[in-house]
Amino acid sequence: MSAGKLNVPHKGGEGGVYFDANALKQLMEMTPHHTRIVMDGDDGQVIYAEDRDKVTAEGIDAALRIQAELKQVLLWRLEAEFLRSINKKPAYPEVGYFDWVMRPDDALDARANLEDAYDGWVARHGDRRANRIYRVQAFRLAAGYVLDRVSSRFGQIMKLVRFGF
Amino acid sequence: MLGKLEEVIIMATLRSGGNAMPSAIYEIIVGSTAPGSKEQAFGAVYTTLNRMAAKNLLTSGKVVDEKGRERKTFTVTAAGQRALQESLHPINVLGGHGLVGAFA
Repeated sequence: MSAGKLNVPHKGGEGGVYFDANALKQLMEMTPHHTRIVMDGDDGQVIYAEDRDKVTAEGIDAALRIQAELKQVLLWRLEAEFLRSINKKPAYPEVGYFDWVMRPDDALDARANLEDAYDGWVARHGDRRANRIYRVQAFRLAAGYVLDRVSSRFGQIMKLVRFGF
Repeated sequence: MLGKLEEVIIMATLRSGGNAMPSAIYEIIVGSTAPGSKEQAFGAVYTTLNRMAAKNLLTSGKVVDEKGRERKTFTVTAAGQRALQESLHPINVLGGHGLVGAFA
C-alpha cells in the first residue's frame, strides 16, 4: 500500500466528500497511487489523507477517531438544518385583499385552507403553476364570498320590503 | 335536487369521516378525479361548502390546527344525507353505476 498523511487544517475553505470510517479504510487499501481522500468537517474545516507517505495503523486510528467526531458534528449540522427547514415560513403568494373583503376569522380560515391546498399543487404541478393556481383560486374564493354576502344582504332587504312595511 | 359538485362534496365529506377541513375534503375530491380530467377548482369547493352549510346540508364546526389557527370543519347533516339519496336515486334506478367503464 502506498503512503498516507493526515492533515487537519482549520478554516481550510476547501470542499470535499464525506466518507464514513470503513469506506476511508477500504479506499486507502484499494488505491495504491496518488489518492487524496477529503473529508468535509464543520465550518470549512477539511480533513484529508494523502498517499505520498506510508499509511500507518496509528494514522488510520487517528482518522477513524476524527471521523467519529466529524460524524457527530455532521449530525448536529443536519439537525440544525432540519430545524431551520421546519421553522422556515414557506413563501405562499400574497393575498392581502382577503383582509379587506372578508371577516377576519373567514380570511384566516380561507388563507389556511389555500395554504394546505397549495402544498398539493406544488407536488402535482410544480412551483410556478402552483403559484398561478393559488392566485386564481384565491380570487375566485374571495369573489364567491363577496357575492354570497351581497346576495344574502339583498335577500334580507327584499324580505323587509315585502313584509316589513 | 343537488348539483353535481354538491353531490361530490357530500360524498367526499362522508368519506372523510366528518369534522373535515375544506382542504382535506378538496384533496379527497382531487384524488377521485378521473385520469386526464380537469381538477375541481378549490375556490368553487370552498364557496360551495359554505353555501351548503347555510342550506343546512352540512354543519360547520371549529377546530384549532397545529399552527394555532382556528379552522372551519364540516360534517354532513341528516338533511344532507337525504338530499344525496334523493339525488342518486334516479342514477341508481336507471343503472347509471353499472355503465361506468361501458363506454371506455
